[in-house]
Amino acid sequence: MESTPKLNSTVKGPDFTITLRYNVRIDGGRSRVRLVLPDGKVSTLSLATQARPDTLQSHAVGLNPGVYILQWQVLASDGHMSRGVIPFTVN
Amino acid sequence: MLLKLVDLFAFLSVILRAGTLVFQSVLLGGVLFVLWVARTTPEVPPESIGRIQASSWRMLRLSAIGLAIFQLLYLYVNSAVLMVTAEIGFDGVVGANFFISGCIVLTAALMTAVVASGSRNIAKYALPVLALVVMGASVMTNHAASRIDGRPALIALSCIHELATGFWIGGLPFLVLGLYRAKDITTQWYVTERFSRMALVCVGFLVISGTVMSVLYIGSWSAVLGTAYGVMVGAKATMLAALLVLGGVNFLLLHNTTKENALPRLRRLIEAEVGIGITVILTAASLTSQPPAVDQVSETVTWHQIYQRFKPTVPRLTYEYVAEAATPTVGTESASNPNTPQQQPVYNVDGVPLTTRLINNSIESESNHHWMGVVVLAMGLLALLARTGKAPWAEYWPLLLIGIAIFIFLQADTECWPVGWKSFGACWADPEVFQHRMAALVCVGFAIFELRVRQRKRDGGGMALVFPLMCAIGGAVLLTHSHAITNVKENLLVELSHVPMGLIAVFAGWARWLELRLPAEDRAIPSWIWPFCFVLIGAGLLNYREM
Repeated sequence: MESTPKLNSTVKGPDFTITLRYNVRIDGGRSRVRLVLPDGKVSTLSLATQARPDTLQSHAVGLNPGVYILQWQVLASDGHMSRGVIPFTVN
Repeated sequence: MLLKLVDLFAFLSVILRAGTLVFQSVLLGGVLFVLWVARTTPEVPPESIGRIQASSWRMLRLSAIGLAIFQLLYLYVNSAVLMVTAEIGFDGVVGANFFISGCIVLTAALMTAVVASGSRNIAKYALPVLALVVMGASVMTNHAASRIDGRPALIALSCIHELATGFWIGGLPFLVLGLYRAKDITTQWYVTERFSRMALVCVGFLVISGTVMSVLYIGSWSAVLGTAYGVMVGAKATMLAALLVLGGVNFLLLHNTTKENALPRLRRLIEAEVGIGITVILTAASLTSQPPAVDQVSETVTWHQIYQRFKPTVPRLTYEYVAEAATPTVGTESASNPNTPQQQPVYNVDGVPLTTRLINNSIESESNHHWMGVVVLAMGLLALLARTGKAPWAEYWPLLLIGIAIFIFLQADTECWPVGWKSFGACWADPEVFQHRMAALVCVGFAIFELRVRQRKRDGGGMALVFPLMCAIGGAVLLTHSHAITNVKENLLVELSHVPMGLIAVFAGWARWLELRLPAEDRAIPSWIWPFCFVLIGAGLLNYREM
């Protein structure tokens, strides 16, 4: 998969677009992207309408500098569920 | 609570998917068998073909009910996991592709059971439609359905592959049953010839569609051994080759010998074909739980890395753990205690130094596997010795299996009771512990049944078949598993050692089955194959490595 922000990358805050692109068609309505904040709190991000069947997008707003973790769980069109994490830093 | 069981459910999901695929194939094969293979003809006595038809319709109904049960369980498990992990209600699950597909299969399977119980005139029109509905809905949860590129072609190839698998492998149990039910050679010959013609066509479609899909999903030669997907496809291809050998022998028997001479052998060979064929379908279920190799280019293990891991080394038969102070990190001296041997840094496949805990876990696991290797190698050699007929004492080789069972129970999962802190019951939730305990039970089963069989000499009746069945089931379990989506390369290297052993265990089981079932004059080849398989498994275990 490809992502913005990339794994262990640093991005410029406070607002930016989060993009997750997979190798397969994703059921966006049944997939979840959560953001773990530097203080450990977790917020579920709202996903934009899918522009491509393999891509999920969300918009992060008002992120202070610090280390964040993006947690994703997707349901592929074939019924398989996958999970993963993408740590990144906001400066 | 359910969230903690997600990993176990992933394994359970593969098992349920496997059951679904097996029953789906049997249903497809059954429909073709009852409507075409076992058709009434003036060439054979009507009462004889009638007996075959009656038992085939019964088996078709059972396979439809089996499919419905497995599909229902699969739907429940997948829905439960999705509801918990995505924090959605049941109404949110209802529109998911897998749910729609599962409901269609479930409904079609139940309708098949009903139709197969009613009027034959309605059934001959309804069953082909229902079979196509089952197959079409099943492909909705196939890799092909979620691909971005080449989706229509992949869906078409998957349909051909699943249909050919169902008609051939799924039809084999009906042929075995039919041969038992028909009391006269004419009917047996008629059914076998018709099935053989159909099987030949199916094999052609199966090989062509399988080859094209392998090329599209694997993508490169390096991924054949370098990804779990490639390895599992290789395992499927190897078993298919074994099926083709058995099928080739059947074909020669059908065309080059008398009916009286051929049929007793055919029946036994087809039994082995059924077993290996079902294992192929189980392996296919495992294959669907992981991404195709072309999607894992950056996670492909190189041949050099494979060689580094599997080049023969002296087995580790001691449990010499690394002290905490000797944690190896790049660029530092490892041991502060002068009495502790200097520990060289140990790296994983990606060149990352391993922690002390991981090193010690690997030391324990390697030593366990190597001890198992010693015992299994001894068993194989003793069984070969017994086969020569010059060492009657070697017939007691099954006693070694009880030692293996005790060893697995105590040493394979040292965190579990009675040597660890986890309770006996709690450990069952860990898929790895579950598989180890099943393996221990299989060993005890082996020992008891095989010793008794050997005391009664070769023809031990039904009891004698327990050993080959356990062996084949053990191999199938090794081939039917879920795949990790993290730490992909390390897991692949572990898999590269387990998959060949699973394959060899399957072949050992069915070779022993044939030794017991074939006419006495045909037993020589299989009777040498299975002990040799044990020797290979022992050698493989002795070279098992995690570092």
